[in-house]
Amino acid sequence: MNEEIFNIALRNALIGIKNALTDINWAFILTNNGTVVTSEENAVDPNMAKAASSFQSLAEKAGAIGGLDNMLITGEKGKVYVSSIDDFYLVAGLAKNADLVYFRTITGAVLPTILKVLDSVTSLPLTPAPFKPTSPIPSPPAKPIPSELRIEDEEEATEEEEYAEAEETEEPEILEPSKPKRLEAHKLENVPSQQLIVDRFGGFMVKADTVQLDSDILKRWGALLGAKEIGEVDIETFSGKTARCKAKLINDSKLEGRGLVRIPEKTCQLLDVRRGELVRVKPAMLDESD
Amino acid sequence: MPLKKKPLQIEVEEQVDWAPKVEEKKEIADLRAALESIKSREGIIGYIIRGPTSASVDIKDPSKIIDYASLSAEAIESGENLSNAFGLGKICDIILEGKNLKILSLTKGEQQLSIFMEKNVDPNSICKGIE
Repeated sequence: MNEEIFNIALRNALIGIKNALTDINWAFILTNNGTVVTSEENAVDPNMAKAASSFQSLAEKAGAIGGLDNMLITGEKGKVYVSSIDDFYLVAGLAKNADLVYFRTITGAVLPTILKVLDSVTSLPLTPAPFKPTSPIPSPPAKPIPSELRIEDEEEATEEEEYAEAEETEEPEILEPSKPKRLEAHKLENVPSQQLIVDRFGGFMVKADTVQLDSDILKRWGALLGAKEIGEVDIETFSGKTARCKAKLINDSKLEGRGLVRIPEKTCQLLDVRRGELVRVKPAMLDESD
Repeated sequence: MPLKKKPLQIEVEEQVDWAPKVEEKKEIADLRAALESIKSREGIIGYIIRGPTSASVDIKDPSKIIDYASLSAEAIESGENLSNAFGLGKICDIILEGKNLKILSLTKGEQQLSIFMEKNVDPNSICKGIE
């Protein structure tokens, strides 16, 4: 499902909510960076853009109160209600005497459910094999994997068997011209694993198999291995679970240089790690080698 | 001989252009008194009053003053922008709810108030206390 279809689905959801709640004059959804994702038909676009930019800086500053949950502006002629739903904000213009309790109940139940459904639908084609059990690295894992976890890993592997097998057997051939070169075992052994703090991130267009790291760390590894880029990394939790993910630079400048590894929510769930926990991260594959 | 009653003297402050109006002074004093009373309630973290020429802050945790001041100013500005964009008219109040606490912002005369409270406090009861 692409973004356009996703937006249409959200738009239809908003229209449905508006039909159920006659108090709503207009409504739209914003991402947490201020982008208008979808709009309900009667909303006025230039105003939405203004509201989005105004709201963006407020959402950033709301870190002082633990992040923005909701905001209600009561004016002489009506109300604006903004509520946080996952990574989105629903902004709705309401009649002056709108029943807020009813509005909150409906939107609080319907939208998160729709987003969850869309999320699960969206993630399937985008990430056919987001989580591969490691590893081609010859070195054994630092800690023995508990039997419970092994069972889980096996189950996951079985669940994703169809996708994983298809990708592993077919993709390397398709990508032959720029096929990543696997590092030699001895080279990788010389690179110490880095302990990093987990930061979760999510979103509908987030690929579950891609983690974000500091450019300094990737550069240092690149220098140690004589490579221009580190294409993939192995992540190992202290409970022994491991995953191989693609590596990208942290795209939020505020989070750079803090010793973080930003892991998509789904991968966090699979690895059973939470925000703030430590994991070991090690380069696994190079895109190019000198 | 009956005592002569002294005529009652009523002092009338002369108002001049350059001085703040007496009424305004009284309004501010009343507002502060109301806020002091509100602040003593359970769950109230503090308040900020901003006037055209001065500001007053009373927040329990001084380390949070800058963050709270910046956030409440942004909330009022954002509220005004949204109100202008969507024709809400004059803003009566703004209630901002975070994961940890709530902020009630409103304007009384020339004074912009922001009251910080814990999540379990009903901001509508605070509004009534100020009115």
